Amino acid sequence: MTLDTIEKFRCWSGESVGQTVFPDIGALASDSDAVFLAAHTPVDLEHIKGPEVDPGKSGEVQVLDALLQRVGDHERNTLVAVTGGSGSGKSHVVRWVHAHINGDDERFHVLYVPRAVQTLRSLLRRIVDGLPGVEGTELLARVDAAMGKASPGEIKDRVVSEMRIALNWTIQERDAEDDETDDEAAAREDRNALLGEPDHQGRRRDGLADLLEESAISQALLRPDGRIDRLVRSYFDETSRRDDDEEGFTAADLPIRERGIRRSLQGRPSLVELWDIVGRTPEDTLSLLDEALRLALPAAIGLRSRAGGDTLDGLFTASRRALREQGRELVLIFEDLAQFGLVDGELYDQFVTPPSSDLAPLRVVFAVTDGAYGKLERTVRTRVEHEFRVGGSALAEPQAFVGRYLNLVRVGRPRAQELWSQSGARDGSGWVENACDTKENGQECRFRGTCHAAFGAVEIAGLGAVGLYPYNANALRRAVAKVGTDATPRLVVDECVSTNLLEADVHIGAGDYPHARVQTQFDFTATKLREAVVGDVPAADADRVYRARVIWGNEEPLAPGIEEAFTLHKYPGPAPTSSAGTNPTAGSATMPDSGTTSPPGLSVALPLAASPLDSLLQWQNQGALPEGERDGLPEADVSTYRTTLYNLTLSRVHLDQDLVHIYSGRGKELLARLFNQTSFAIQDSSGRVAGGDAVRIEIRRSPENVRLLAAAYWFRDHGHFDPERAKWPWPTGQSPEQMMLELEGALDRWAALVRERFLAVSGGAGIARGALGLRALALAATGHDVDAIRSTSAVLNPPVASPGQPGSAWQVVHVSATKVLALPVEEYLGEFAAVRQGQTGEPQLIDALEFDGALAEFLSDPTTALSKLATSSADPALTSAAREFENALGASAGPERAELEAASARLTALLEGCLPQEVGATAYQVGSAANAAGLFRPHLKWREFESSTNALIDAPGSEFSVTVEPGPAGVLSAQHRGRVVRRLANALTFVVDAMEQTVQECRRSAVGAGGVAELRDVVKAQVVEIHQLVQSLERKE
Amino acid sequence: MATNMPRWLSEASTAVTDATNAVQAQNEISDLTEARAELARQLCEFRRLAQADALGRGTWWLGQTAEPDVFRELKKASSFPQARVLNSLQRRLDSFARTVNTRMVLSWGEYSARRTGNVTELQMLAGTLSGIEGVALLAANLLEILGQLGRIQTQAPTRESLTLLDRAEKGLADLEAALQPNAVREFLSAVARGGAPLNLLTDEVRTWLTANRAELCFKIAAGAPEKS
Repeated sequence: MTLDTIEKFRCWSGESVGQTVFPDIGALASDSDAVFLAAHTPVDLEHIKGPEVDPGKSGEVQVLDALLQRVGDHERNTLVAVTGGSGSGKSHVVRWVHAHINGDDERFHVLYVPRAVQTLRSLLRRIVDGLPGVEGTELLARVDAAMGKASPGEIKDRVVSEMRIALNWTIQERDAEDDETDDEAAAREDRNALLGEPDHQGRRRDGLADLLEESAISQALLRPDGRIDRLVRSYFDETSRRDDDEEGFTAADLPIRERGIRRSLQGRPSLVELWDIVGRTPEDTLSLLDEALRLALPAAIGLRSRAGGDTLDGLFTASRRALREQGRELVLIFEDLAQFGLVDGELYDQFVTPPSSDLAPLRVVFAVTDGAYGKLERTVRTRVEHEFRVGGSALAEPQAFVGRYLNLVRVGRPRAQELWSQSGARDGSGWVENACDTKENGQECRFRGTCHAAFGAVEIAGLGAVGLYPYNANALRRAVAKVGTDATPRLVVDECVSTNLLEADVHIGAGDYPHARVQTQFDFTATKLREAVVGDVPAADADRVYRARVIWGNEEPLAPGIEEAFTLHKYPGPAPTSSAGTNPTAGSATMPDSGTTSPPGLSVALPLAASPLDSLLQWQNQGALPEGERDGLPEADVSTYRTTLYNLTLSRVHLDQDLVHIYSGRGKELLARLFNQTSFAIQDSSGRVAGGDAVRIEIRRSPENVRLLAAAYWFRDHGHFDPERAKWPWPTGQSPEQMMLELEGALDRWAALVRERFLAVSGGAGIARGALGLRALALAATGHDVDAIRSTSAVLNPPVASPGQPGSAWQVVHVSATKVLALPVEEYLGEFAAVRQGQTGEPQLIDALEFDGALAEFLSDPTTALSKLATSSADPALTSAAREFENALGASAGPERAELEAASARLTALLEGCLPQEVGATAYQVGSAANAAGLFRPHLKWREFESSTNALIDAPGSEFSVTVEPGPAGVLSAQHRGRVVRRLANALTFVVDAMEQTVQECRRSAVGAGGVAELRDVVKAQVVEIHQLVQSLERKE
Repeated sequence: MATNMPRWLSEASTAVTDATNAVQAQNEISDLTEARAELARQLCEFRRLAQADALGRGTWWLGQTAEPDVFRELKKASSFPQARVLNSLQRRLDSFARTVNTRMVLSWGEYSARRTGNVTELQMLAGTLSGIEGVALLAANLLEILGQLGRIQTQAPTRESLTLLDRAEKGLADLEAALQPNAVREFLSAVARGGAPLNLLTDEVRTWLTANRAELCFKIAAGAPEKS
């Protein structure tokens, strides 16, 4: 920096920022009123409860007046609550009240408890020390004794022990109330049951206290990060807030799902029953544990002692008595009531204790979050006389809000405190100076004019024009916007003042501001293509200039002083384009034609819709961010761009020139696999990206691709490149002709890429040839005569034949071939090799000669053809079928060859030169004779014998042997005759076997058939004798 | 059958032809064997009947002539002992034998009753008298003979049957002879032969019955007594 140039000028320092800017007031020392007030922005307060004090006053003054209004009234206390959300500024209000209250006023004593970072003991000491007329040493000593040397674990044990005492002795059963509902009565009875039954000494038995003696249960209560653990740790940690733990016990603090609890309680059935109730409805138990904890905690940390002694409540009372004697009152100013946590009961007791003849009145103002206020004990809340809610926001005027801090860091802490002490002002304004006017030893800053002209200034009451440097209005708006829509003053001070000023100090000094990180600290929303903003800037300097022009220039050239201050080269700014007139600022456009020429004068000018390119413009800028901070395009936009590019590219693929049909069926499926929306990989954007053999088109974050995407979106919405007929604003700075040509070129390139990939994968008509060839092989494998299926038409319509069943070795090939035959080969031909004509667009013609050649290839060398088809990725179904068939053929050809050759040899041997028809007929005659004589064997196989002899009788042809040529092709070709031979061989084998068995039976039956004549003579002799005897019996009178 | 056949088929054809013939022979043997056994049984039966016929012919039996069909089939079977003829003949012979036996048993029963009276009643009387001193031994002897005779009364008689009948007749006569006084003998003899008329039941008879504790062993039944 030189004395005569604003380059690298800073009117603040990192040190001054550190000394003056405190986003959390809890970190601001209580004696830092000057720093606090110098940057304080008056707060808009809504007086929700209580009578209006002074209609002419507003803001913090109202609170002060409400607090002190009743001073001198010894009949009543005054409670003033300042409520609001976290970070809304309520503590600032209380701090302001404290800063503006006269601590020397004899009428009262002020006890101020800032929301400073401190331990519980420090907090107590501050209270005790701030109470007049008491020592409190005994209480502090007790707290020291309780917590001084004890570990957190010891305190936790003590808490559980005190909880047991509370449950056993202190907590009383609740009596029924007249107006309680059934549910309330049930809840009360459950609670009383959980406490257990008192014994003769009044100690409860078989209640929750006894359950807590069970190790597993007490250990669960003491678990790390459990309710008790968090609470105890908070008393050891230095913190300005103890309001983060308002939830109470949860079910996780009880080992409800842990096994073994019931077993460990085995000897005490009442406790087992109680534990079952706890498991079923843990809510009542948790509520009772909360109640016990509230009683146990003060005792555990020494605030209360069963042996008596000081209590916080006692000290307050004693102090109020002392003050009453002096005729004074006690003013309590608490910046955050929540920091008292579970010891707030002692305070609340005082709040609700009214003044008396020996008790001084209380004047209390405290800040409390809305949530905590809602949970305040009802007795306390009803005694709050005034409630002020922090309304609106200090951020309603962000320039003024930040401007005060900018001025403070320029003034610096020492000077601010000096001014504060000099002024003695208590009315809150006019004491602090404007650094722009006094920076140079009371004279205005030498760059005031340049700086204010370049960066602007904000008029602040009591200060005048405060320069916004290093912000300007745009930059400050973007900085605040970056904090978010739920920004609080605390967050804005933290981000926009503290962080940004510290970094700006360093980088402006180094001459590299705005550095890359700035993009993450400001709202970096763009409305133009980047090159429309920095088209005039060399690439080496473009990033920094672009950041400056977006943030400080709103995508326009920067004011000269800004470039100088940030050490930026002065560039002329981007050249105007022919479409400048369509800039959204034009505000209207002519609707595009609806397909016909509109009559002159009938075109209607309508307001333009918002540009849909915003997200694209932000995406273009995310390249400068760290990877983790890049959001990419929104999911919906990614989908839109991908779909648009996909549709535009698809319309140029023109695969019908290669006889491939891609609008339905497999062609469509294959194309969808190879090319779809996911083929467009838009950098850093979500969504699946095409992999495998699919076409993948990388859309990286480059100016060319941003133009392409913008052009595609435009064309999608308009169908033309005429900015005059825009529905939404034409991208500023871009030439329609250039964008159209670039898009056309890209689409053509991508379409060629898709076409090339499709044909490479499918082979075009190769799919159809493969399907037809595979079908021919399958027909051969199922026993069709190869010579009959050498033409396309024969393969598509094979002759009806019943070639017989396959042998065991060929079964797997037969099954595989059957699956192949189920493939719709006509569809393959129609989709990949047919000319489509006529109105229906159905396939009409194919080149049969080409396919006949393909058949010859498959039938002559099936191994090679199948291998090629099985490794193709064109059609999964076809490939899968081919692979299965190839595997089956490879595994079965050898065994099948052996089977066929064996069958042929067996048939030849058994026929012994005869014809099967003759052998069958004769065998049937012989078998019939044997069967009639009961000699046929096997006895139950006559039907099968008949069937076998019929098979021989009906044998077709005159050649009954088969020769299997080499290789799988030979086995395939031999299937047709081989199946006949095998069938005849099997039939003849059965016949021969039956004949052999029958011969055996004949020989066995013929044994022992001699001696008939002798036997016949014996019978005759018997008949003759009987004849004589019968005659001898004749009656004779 | 075709002349040019595989060897295995020619062999089978021959074996089947041979075996078919053998089976037929076997079947005839089987039939004749069965007939021989059956005819042997029937031959025994007719021999027994012929013996009984010889014992009774002219005395208590006149003979039984068979139906003409029996003779026709006997003649046919003696020429052509085929299974069908033999089966029919055997059925007719069985029927004729049952007829002869029935009629012969009936005639024999009538004959024996004429000689000794009703065997059953006589057994009751002998049983009664076997407890009376003096005739007890004779009565017991008669009772035993009557038992043996009763057991063969349902069959055509044999020579043994005639012997037993003779012994029963003599035993009864011995018993009657041993009975004293005469009135008692006369009374009991009438009882043994179909019942005594009331006039034979004299005081003397009653006294004897009372003295021999036999008064409860007799009854009075309606009907005319058989004439001796």
